[in-house]
This record gives sequence, structure tokens and C-alpha cells, in this order.
Amino acid sequence: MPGTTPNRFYPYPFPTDPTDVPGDLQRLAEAIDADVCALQDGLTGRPVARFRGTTPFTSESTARANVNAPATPYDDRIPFNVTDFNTANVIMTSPDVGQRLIFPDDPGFYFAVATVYVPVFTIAGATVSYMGLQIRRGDFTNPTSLVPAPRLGGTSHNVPVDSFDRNVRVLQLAVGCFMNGTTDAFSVEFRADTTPNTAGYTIGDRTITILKMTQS
Amino acid sequence: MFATFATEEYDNAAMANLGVNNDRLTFTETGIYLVTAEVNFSSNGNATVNGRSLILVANLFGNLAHDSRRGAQNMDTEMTTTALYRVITVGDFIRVEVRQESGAALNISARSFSATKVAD
Repeated sequence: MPGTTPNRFYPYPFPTDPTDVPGDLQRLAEAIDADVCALQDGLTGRPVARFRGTTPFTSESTARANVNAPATPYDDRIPFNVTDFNTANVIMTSPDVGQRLIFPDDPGFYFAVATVYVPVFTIAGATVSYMGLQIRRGDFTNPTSLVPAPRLGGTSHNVPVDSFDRNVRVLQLAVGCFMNGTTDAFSVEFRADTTPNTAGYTIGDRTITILKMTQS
Repeated sequence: MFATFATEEYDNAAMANLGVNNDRLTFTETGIYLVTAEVNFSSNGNATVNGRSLILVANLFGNLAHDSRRGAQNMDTEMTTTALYRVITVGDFIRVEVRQESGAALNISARSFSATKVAD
């Protein structure tokens, strides 16, 4: 009756056991082989997804009285149209107005990073006084709900993009948050304010990268 | 001054104890953590605007990450920062420090703060 190691339970013979060197080595080798395979199967990368928006998006008119309080939560929601990779079971909804949500279908704690390329504002005579990027928690089952979507994070600037930015500024925003896997969805929003008011601020490429941090 | 927090949204490692210290996350395991914080500075209309700063402070004095920018007279200023922090000693903690130079009182409204372990 062989003994086993205390941690991984690999078999070994006692001095009093009948001599069977090939058999003992085979049993040890097979135990190690199976154990290493099981360990390897349990090591997987953290679930991750990235979505990208490639078509120009223009913010709402800057005539809105309170730039931080959209009349409807989806007024400022940025559309995404390309899936770069997705091992996290995250659903990108339609880029149509009133959709545009990024929904993690599995509950857990997530880390999300959003980036937006903001070019120089080109409308002559207008000065940019504010530009902001926010991530909010929308409702996947009711994307056009008028209930304000809670803000998860934001970043804002009041200095216009210019040649000091090499004519493009990358707004970046990261949040860590729990998503329930039933209704919670990421809503990435861009808004701007100008003097005088203009029809909106058009931005370029943007991404949202989502990592699932917990296993359940 | 350090931002305070009122609601614990998710905590599977007992890092927050808002009844005892509502301004920090205290690490209960060693390892490398991904830390993020965001605050929303309200505007106060003061003609002197100057800067706003958001700082992640490790333990008593460690400046872990620092973001600063010019604020806005009549608009909120939103800031976020992210850092990796290596916890060597259980009991290490991090806080969110906010500063502003408008020359008058200025509130912060919405804010959040998270840490998640990414490696041993």
C-alpha cells in the first residue's frame, strides 16, 4: 500500500513494499500528469471585452440649460459598433438612439475603461467651455427609461482642445463597480458646452474595455 | 481634505468599514490591487477658479496617484484616477484626497472609490 504526499497526494512506495520500480514510476508520473492538467485547466485569463465606436458621433446641442442633467438619460449616450474581442459574455446593444448600452450578462464586480478621441472644435466663433465623459449605469431591460442613470464616474475639461494636444485629446475614464447581470449596463456618455450655443460637438473613435474581476 | 463615503456597494473582502472610518479602504490581504477613484467638484461661481486636484493617498502620506486640472467657474469638474498599488502589509489603507484653489468653499458631490485585487 503506497503512501501519498501530503499536499498533492502523489503516490510513493514504502521501503517495505515489494520492489516495482517501473510500476511505481508510472503511477507517480500519471498522478503528476493528471494533476498538472487539472491545474492548467483551472488557469484561465480574466474575462475581458472591448468595444469600439468608429463612426462620428455628435453630442446633443450645447443649448441645453444644464449640461450635466440630460433631459433623457440616453441623450448623450455614445454608440459602439465594433467588437474587438469578447470573452466576458458582454452584450453590445444596437447603436441606435435609445439603445447603445454595454450589458455584462454575468453578475460580478467589473472594471471598465472608456476612452474618447476628441478633436479640435471647428465651428468658427465658438468657444468650448466644457467637455465631459461619463460612465453611467443604465437599465438594459428599459434603455429609454426616464429615470436618471446613476453616474459611476466622470472626467471633464474646460480647456479647449488645441495644438498643445496635437489637435486631439483623449479623454479617459475608469470605474470599478458591481453589475447585477440582469439589468445593469454601462452607458458611456459625452457632452459639451460652448459659447455661443452650437448644434453639438463631434467626436471620433472611442472604446470601452471591460474586465470581470470576480469569479461569481 | 479626504473625501468621505456613505454607501458600501460591494465588498467581498471586508475592506470597507464605514462605521469606523468612512474615508478609506483597508486591505485585508497582501497583493497587487487596481484602485480607482472619481469625484465631482461642484461649481461655486467664484471668479477665481484655479485648480482642482484628486489624489490617491496610501497610508498616511504616500502619494499614489495625482490628477489635477483647471476647474470651471460655472460647471462641475469631474475627475478620475487609477493606479496599481502593491500591498505589502495587511492593514495598509488608501484614501481619496481632494484639493481646490478657488478661494472659497467648494463642495464635492458624487464620488466613488474601489479597489480590486489583481495579483498576489
